[in-house]
Amino acid sequence: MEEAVAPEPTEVVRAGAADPGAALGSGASGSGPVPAPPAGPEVRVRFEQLIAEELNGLYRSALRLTRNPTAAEDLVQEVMLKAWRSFHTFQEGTSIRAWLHRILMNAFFDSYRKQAREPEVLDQQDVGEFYLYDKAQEGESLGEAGNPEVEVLDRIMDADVRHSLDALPVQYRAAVLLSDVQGFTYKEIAQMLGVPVGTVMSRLFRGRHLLQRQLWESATKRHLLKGDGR
Amino acid sequence: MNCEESMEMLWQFLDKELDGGATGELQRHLEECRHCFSKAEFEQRLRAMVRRSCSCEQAPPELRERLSKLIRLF
Repeated sequence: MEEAVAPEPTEVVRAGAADPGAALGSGASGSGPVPAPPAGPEVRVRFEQLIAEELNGLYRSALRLTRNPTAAEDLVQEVMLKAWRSFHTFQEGTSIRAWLHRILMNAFFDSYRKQAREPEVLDQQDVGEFYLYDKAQEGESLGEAGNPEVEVLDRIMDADVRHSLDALPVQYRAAVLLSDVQGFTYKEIAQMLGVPVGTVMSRLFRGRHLLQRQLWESATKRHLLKGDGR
Repeated sequence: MNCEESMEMLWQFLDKELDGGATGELQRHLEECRHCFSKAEFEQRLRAMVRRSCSCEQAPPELRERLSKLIRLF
């Protein structure tokens, strides 16, 4: 993506990123003094290009986090303005998508902590390692022919997946979103969430199992599959 | 590598976070074990489905326009 950009604005941006820690520093965290916006129309053109490329992905992540289109728009607007103000700290050659998502996570969790809209109830129930696969293998609920596990996946709708992900507690939802939807590495996710890599892995492990349970429940509720639904 | 070890590594394998040696070992096991291969294939398909399902929404055009105006103001 970066390769497609004209060289002139690149140089302008690079010149501003003298501080090695600045790319993910105070500008991205949303706390501390707001740095001056980058000057020059060529920088604005470059930033507008980035908005065009990254906006949908960022909006989708915001939508999964906030679970509300209006709140997602507000969050994306806040993130893009923060990103614009600290754009001079962005290090060329690093991932703009990861940088924007770090700002997104900081902004979302800052406001989440302040508002405490949703009590963080972490489900400790054991869900088994391959919940959905095992459910499918039980087989009774499905047609007798073919592969039951393939049939389960064929019967789950895109909307079921989104609703199931949205139903997860926010810490698990964020981890699964960043890994399974956005494809970031454990290390990138750890930086975005400000937690150790081991915590990312355990949240992913738990989050994916909860997601599978939700998928099964949501599919059975809609009578797409016959099952106990619990 | 036995089935239990291979399934413990499966998530890291799907996340492309396993090193080359362990990846090779796991791949060899999956080639030989139909049961583990079936689980791995299922998890891979599920992963692809999650990604696809959450990749279709578009940001509203008004948001894009508003952002363009806002960054000109600031």
